[in-house]
Amino acid sequence: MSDDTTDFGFQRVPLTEKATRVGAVFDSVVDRYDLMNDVMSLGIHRLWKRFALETSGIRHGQRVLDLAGGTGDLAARLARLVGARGEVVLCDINAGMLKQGRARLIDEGITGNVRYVQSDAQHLPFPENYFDCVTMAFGLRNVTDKTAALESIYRVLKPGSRVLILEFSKPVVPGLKPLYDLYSFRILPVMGKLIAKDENSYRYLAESIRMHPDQLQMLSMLEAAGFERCQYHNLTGGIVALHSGYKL
Amino acid sequence: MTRPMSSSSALAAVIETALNGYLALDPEVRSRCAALDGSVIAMQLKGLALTLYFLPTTDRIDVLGHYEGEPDTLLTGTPASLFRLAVVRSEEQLFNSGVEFHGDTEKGERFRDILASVDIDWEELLSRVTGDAIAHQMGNMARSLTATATQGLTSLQEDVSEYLREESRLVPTAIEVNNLLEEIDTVRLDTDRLEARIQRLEKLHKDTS
Repeated sequence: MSDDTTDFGFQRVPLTEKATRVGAVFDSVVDRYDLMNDVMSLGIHRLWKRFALETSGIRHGQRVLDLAGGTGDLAARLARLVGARGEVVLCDINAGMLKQGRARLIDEGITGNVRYVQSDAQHLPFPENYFDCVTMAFGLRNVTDKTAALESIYRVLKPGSRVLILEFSKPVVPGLKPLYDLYSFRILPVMGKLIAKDENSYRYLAESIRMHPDQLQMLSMLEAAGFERCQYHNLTGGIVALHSGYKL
Repeated sequence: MTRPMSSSSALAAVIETALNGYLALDPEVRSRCAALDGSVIAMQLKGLALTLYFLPTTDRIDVLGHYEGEPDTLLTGTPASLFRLAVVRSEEQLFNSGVEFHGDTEKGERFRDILASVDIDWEELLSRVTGDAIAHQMGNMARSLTATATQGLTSLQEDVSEYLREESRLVPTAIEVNNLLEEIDTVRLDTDRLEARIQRLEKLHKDTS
C-alpha cells in the first residue's frame, strides 16, 4: 500500500486530495444535513450528543471548543450550558456548514457567547492551554491525519481538562453487525438519494464509518497523543462510542 | 468498557421536549423563565437514584440527566410527590408535599410556579413513549413508504421529511425510557401503598387516642 494515499470511504485517494473530496461531500449535503442525521439514526443522534454533553462536566462560565461543529446543534446546547459568562467556539473546516451553524444559532437567539472559526482540526489556531473542554461529534472520521488533530486538541486544552470524541465505532452486540451493514450499505444511500438527492455522499459517509478505528484503536490513539485516564462508553450497542481523555 | 446509555438522558430528553413544546405556546410562562436565566435547579427522584437538572434560559428550559456543577436549588422527593408539586396551591400543601427544598428557596419557588403553570399531563406523556408506540409508528412509516413509492419521489420526500421532523422530536428512543417507566411504575405503586398504609395508621391513631 502506497504511503501517500489514504482512505476516502472504501476508495484510496492521494493524501492531498482527501480534504477536498470531504469538503465536496459536506458542501453537497449541508442543506439537508440535520434532516439526514435524523433519518439515518432515527433521531437517536440527538441522544448520543446529549449523553456526550452530560458526560462532559461542562459548567457555567467555561470556555469550550466544539470541533467539526458544523450546523451547530451541539454548540447551541453548549452555549446555554456555559451561560453568559462562558464562551463557545464553533469550529469547522467547511464554510458552508459553519454559515449554516451561525444562522441556526442566531435564529435560536444565541448570539453573545459564541465565536465562529473556520479551521482545520489538524492545525488549530488557538493559544495553548486555552479551553476547558474540547468536543468533537461525528467529525474525527473525516480528518485526514487523526493523530495530528488529537495532538492539536491536546495543545489547546488547559491542564486538567478533557477531550470528548463522539464517533461511529464497531458494534459489539452479537448479531448487530449484519443488520447494521445492510442498513448502512443498502438503505442509507437510498435514503440519501431520496431525501438529500445525493446518493454518493451518503455512501461515502457509510463507508467512512467502516474505515474509522474501532474502540480500542481509538483509545490507543488518544494515549499516543498524550491524553491520560482515557476511557470510552459504547452507545447503542457500540454503533457509536464516546471516548474521553484528560490532559494532565 | 460498556455502559448502557443512561436512562436519565433519555428521560431528560422526553421531559425537555414536552416542556419546551408547551413553553413555545405560552409566552407568559416562558417570560417567567427569564427570571431564572443562568440558574440550575436539580430534582432528585428518591428511590430511583436519578436526578434531573433544569437549566432555564431566557425562553426555554434545558433538561439534563447529569450536571457536574453545584445546583442553585435542590428538590428532593419521590416521583409521586414531585409530580404533585405541579398542583400544589398553598404553603401548607407545599410543606406537607414530602418534597424537600435545599439551597436557594426563592428560585425553587419560582421554578415550582413555572411547573405548576405548565399544562402537561406528565403521566400520559410518558406512557406514550413505549416500545409499542414506536413499533406502531414505524409500521405506519413503512406502510406509507410502500404506498407512496408509486406516487412519486417528491411527495415521499415531503412526507418523510415532515414525519421525521415532527415525530422524531417526541420519540428519541423507546428502549431506555421503557426501562425507566417500569422503574417509575414500581416506585409509584410502592409509594401509593405506603401512603395508604400511613393514612390507615393515622386513622387508627386518631381513633384510639
